[in-house]
Amino acid sequence: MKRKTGLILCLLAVLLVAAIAIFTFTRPKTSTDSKKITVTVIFEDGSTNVHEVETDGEYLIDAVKEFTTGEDSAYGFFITGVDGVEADAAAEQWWCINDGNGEMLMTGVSDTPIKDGDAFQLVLMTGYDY
Amino acid sequence: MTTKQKRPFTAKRATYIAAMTAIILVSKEALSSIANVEPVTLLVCLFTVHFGFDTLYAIYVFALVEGMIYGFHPLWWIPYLYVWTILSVIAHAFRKETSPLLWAGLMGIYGLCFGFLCSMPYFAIGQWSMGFTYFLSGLGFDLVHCVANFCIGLFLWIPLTRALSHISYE
Repeated sequence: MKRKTGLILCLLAVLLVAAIAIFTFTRPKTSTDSKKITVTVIFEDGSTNVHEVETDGEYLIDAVKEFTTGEDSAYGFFITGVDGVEADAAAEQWWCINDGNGEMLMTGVSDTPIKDGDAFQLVLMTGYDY
Repeated sequence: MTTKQKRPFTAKRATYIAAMTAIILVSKEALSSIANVEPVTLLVCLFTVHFGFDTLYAIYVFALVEGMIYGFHPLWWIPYLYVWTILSVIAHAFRKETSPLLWAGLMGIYGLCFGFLCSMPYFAIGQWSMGFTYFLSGLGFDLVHCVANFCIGLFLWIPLTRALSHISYE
């Protein structure tokens, strides 16, 4: 039994070290330098509103907090409204965060690092079949 | 030649499955405000050791209720069907083990691999790059999950095993 426990703990230690190494080396770098980014808000009817934001913030949340509303959660800030337009959760509406090419990000607004010249989209989506 | 007798699906057995489901669901929701600290891993392991694969019924009802609460989005709900099943199968393979350190280690490994297991649909729909990006973006949460699972297992395995030892199907 002791041998099995030792093996499991060794495996855990190896995986943990590997995960910490991957996490450390693949983590996007952030900076507190001044940066200018563009955030395009796309509403349900296709109309847009473009925000050119200057910020020293490290993450996207620092750039969009002026024109968004939402709730803090254990997983970061959850955007519920942009430019005064609230997503109707009952109608399965939600704000999707895309990069400048329209590709959905895998990180939330609190975990997305920004750098000078970055572009993002905040798109009001309806339904979860995206 | 001996044949394995199939256990009848009695009211008592159904009640135990319902109780397992309720305990998993309520305790999970109670801790939902703390990111990646969850009691489901511990409970699935404990129930599998004690009640065998009846735990699978509880897992699937739990997944069904979670879907009713949060919506049946395939990218999270389909993983929910298999990640706990995989854990239950692993726990069943180790069911004779009693060391809390071993169980804490297993639960830690599972917590660390949780994001990878959940990224499978992303690998399927978006190929390698999408799955890998999803996995990397959640790795920080997996590290928290690993440490939390290890601590929960280390401190709660013995007391909960003792508590469950008073309950049986017989």
